[in-house]
Formats: sequence, C-alpha cells, structure tokens
Amino acid sequence: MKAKTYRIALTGLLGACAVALSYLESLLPTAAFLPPGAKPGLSNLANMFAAEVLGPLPAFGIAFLKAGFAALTRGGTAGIMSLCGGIFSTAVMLLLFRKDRKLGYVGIGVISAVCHNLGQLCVAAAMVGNLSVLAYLPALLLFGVVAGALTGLICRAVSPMLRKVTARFQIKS
Amino acid sequence: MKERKWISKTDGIVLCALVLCAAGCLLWRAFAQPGAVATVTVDGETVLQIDLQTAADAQSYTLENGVRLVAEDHAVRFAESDCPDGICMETGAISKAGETAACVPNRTVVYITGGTANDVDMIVY
Repeated sequence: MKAKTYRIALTGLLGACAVALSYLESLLPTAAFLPPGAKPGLSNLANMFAAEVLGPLPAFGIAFLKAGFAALTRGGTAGIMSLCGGIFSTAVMLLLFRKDRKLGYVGIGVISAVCHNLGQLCVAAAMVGNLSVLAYLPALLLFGVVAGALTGLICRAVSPMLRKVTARFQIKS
Repeated sequence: MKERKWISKTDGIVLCALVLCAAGCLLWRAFAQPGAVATVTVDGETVLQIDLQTAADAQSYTLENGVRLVAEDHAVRFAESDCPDGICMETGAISKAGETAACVPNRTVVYITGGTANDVDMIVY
C-alpha cells in the first residue's frame, strides 16, 4: 500500500518537526514571572495535527519520539515526564477530535496543554514521593491556557496546508 | 459534517473556568503567611527540617545526594544540584507557607509549612 508508506513518512516528518520545535523552545530564555521549567509546548502542534488528521498510531508515535528526544538531551527524568504528559494529552486530543463537536481548535489546544501539564506533574509527584509539588499546578494551569490557545490557533492556521499534503498522497487516518 | 471553528463558545467557558480556578489559587497563595519551617524530603522521606525564623544568616546544607540548599533571610533555595535542567535552582528562594521547590531528577522537594519545627531537628543517615 503506497498510502500507508506515505503515512509513515509523514509521521516521521512531523516527529522531526516536533523535535526541532522542542529544541528551539529550549533556547528561549526563562522569564521570572513564569513557573520554573514551563515551556510553550509548541511541539504539541505536531501531535495535534496527527491526532486530528492521521489517527492514533502516528499521534502516539510522535509522543514517543518526543519523549525519546527529551530523555537523550535532558536526562531520563525529563524523558519519563515528557512521555506521560505526551501520552495523556495525545489521548485527550484524539478523543476530543473524534467525539466532540462543540469545542474549537483553541479549546482542544487548551485542554490538551493542561492535560500535558497535569500528567507531568502527577509523574513528578510520584517520582519525588511527595504531593507538595502539586503547588505548581495553578501557575502551570494559567500558563497552559495561554500556551494551549496559541497551539490551537497555529494548528488551525497550518492545518489546511498540511491537509493538502495528506490529500495529495491519499493519506487517511 | 460541520467544520470545526477556530474558537467556539464552549472554548470560552472552558478558558474562563480554568483561568478563574488558577487565578483564585494564586491570589489565595499571594496572601499566605510567611512560613516557619522548611521541610526537605528525598524519595518521600523527611531528611531535614530548617527553622526559617532563626535562619537570618546564610546557612548551607548539603544533602546526601549532593544537592546543596541555602537558607537565608527566612527563605530557602536550591543552591547547587547536578540535575540536567536546573529547574530547582530557577525556582529561587521560597519563604511562604505552601510554597514548594522541587528537583525531580534528584527526587528532592523543599516545602514550607506554617507551624513550628518538630522535635526532629535534623535526621542524619
């Protein structure tokens, strides 16, 4: 099946984009008013597009790829946190894109960003064996809303162009 | 099938709910009392309690895992850690009850409580 090969190739490309975006984000300076370690999570764009158009396997594949990159560059702890946040938020995205008709792109972006933060924080709490890290939650929620809205808007903006690619190669989810 | 909107009314409700929730928590915390005790846990076990009321001068504590904490001016901060991202040090000094600083790679958490220090002053392995 040719379309299947194209789909795998496109997943790889999106995964590479996600990794590049994570790297670019790591170059951003950290501002004092932001919660420590908070990043805009623009690489979720790749997950979001994959969840919307390509289906579960590519979407989760990209989440795994991102976690692997985090583990290689920022250590195992960062990798596990990225994996749990990524899997959780990707699952929620897939569910919302399939089952929900009322939310817009911004809503899905925000909810998945918040889920990403929530997943990461829960893993962090489990790893340190102390629930007090949940004190970061309000700041991360606030930041997740902004970052998620941005991701949703960009995803909607670039979606038509990426859809052209999937249509050209007859890729279906 | 109707095309999904950029932003919908439901999005607005979700956004407002989340922002209100988070802002409420943050506001509530902004008025928190200065804390009395900093508790340090590694792997969930309390290894050190620092009385912040007496910690006026810079005092340095090095934990078994190589993390160094500094208590000064009734606040405590991560001063040294070998973790790859250094998020714990970015957090800066914490002093209010309910505040937390964590170093996940080293499984180390410092959190502030309002009460007085327990009879445990320092647990040394």
